[in-house]
Amino acid sequence: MLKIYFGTDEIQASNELGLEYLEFPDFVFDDIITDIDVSKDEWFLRVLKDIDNADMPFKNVVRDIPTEDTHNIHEVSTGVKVLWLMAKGYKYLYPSQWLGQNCYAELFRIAEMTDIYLLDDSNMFANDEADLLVGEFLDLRTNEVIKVEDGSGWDYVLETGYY
Amino acid sequence: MEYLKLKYKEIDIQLELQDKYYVIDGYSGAGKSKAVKLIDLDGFRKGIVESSLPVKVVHSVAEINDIQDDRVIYVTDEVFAGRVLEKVKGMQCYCILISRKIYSGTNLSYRSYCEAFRDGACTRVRQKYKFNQTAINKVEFDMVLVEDSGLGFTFFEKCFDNYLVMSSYGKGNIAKLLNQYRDRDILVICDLGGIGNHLASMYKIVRKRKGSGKKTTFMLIESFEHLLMQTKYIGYDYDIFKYFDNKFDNTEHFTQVELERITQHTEIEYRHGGRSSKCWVDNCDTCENQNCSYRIVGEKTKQLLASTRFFELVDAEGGSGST
Repeated sequence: MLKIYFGTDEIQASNELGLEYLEFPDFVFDDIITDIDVSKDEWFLRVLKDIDNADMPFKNVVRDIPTEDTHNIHEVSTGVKVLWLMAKGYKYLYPSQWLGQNCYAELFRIAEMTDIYLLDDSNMFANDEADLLVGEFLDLRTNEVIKVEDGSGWDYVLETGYY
Repeated sequence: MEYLKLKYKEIDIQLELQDKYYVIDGYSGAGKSKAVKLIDLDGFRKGIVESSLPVKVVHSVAEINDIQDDRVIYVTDEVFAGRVLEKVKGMQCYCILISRKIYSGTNLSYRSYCEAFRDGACTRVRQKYKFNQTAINKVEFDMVLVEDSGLGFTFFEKCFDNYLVMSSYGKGNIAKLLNQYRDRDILVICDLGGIGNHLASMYKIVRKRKGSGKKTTFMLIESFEHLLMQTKYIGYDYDIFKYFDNKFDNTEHFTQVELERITQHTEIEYRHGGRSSKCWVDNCDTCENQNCSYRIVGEKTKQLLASTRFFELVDAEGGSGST
């Protein structure tokens, strides 16, 4: 389930939840991915295409589809890196600022499979893509499960004054 | 006006810098990080960066500690953005933050928020929240929402005595009240020079209201003080950027300090957050000083308002995800 801590104070949130705050996602991903080949990972390839509009012609070589420029895997977007860490079960308090709004749908999909702790420090439900989300999240401040559909996530944020 | 241009292969970014701070966000994969790296490469290949001031990318704590030059454009990403923001407060530099985080400790202008986007293969940047100017005879509202609660609220309550005038008691409640009064056409009077952090929430509501046929109009002023400075009492130029100094961080703060300076030791003395002269709002016919140089016959606030460029009104139209 997606478990959201609303606010911008990462130290307070991290202490309250007893979770390490993901401060340097690029560094964490780059360190882990060095020993892993994700070019056969169907989940990774799909997300890479959806988010970065890129594919992988060779092991850990990424190709930007519009320009056909290639680069190494360390250059993929932070959004893709963070989603991968979430999907692979790395336990962190994930700040929403690392995710562009084109990552939200995948975030909700991953959270159906595993618990994700998210610090909403970027007012994510104010973004248009959040209106398309369907699912639920747990508000860690109130322990209330909130259903999300037709933009109701934003309605909840507005009502509670979290924005 | 200062500027920063980045051009290399598929990166084509142009920013005109009026305000001190700019925040660039956008979809993942839009090319924001690549743009920052590109500035670093300028030292190796000239012509990537064109700017009116030196540009420095800040990507370490040591580089944050080294920040001391006023006439510089500092650029940094999410990891260091918060710390850079604190460091450059009160400096005359410019600061471009690549970040999606809400920095509630610093009031940013409505112009400050930009988004990176892919235009085909090309990465570009545009202003995130747009205002479309509206002719005064097309503006309809039956309620006025004022950010201020003190002198500002009293001033507008007298100006719009035929309307429902309500204070939001700060920027944070504007979105909530716009949502609460969904059945009304609303004129919002807030400090646009410092409203940036709240724009995402406000635009979200504005678009919803528009969908249900309700109008939301904003008065295009940097702050309440900006409006008072334009009145015939002072006659300050509407274009604040002829005088704006970056050490004030935003135009809202600048106009507050400037109005205090201009009115000091006068009958119309203004004190931000303190007790200001009631001469701004009280009609002069109740005053014994018949020879006062600030004397106005009739309804004072309406006449003061009429002498300003108040009637530059704008509709909120654009906003995040408007591609």
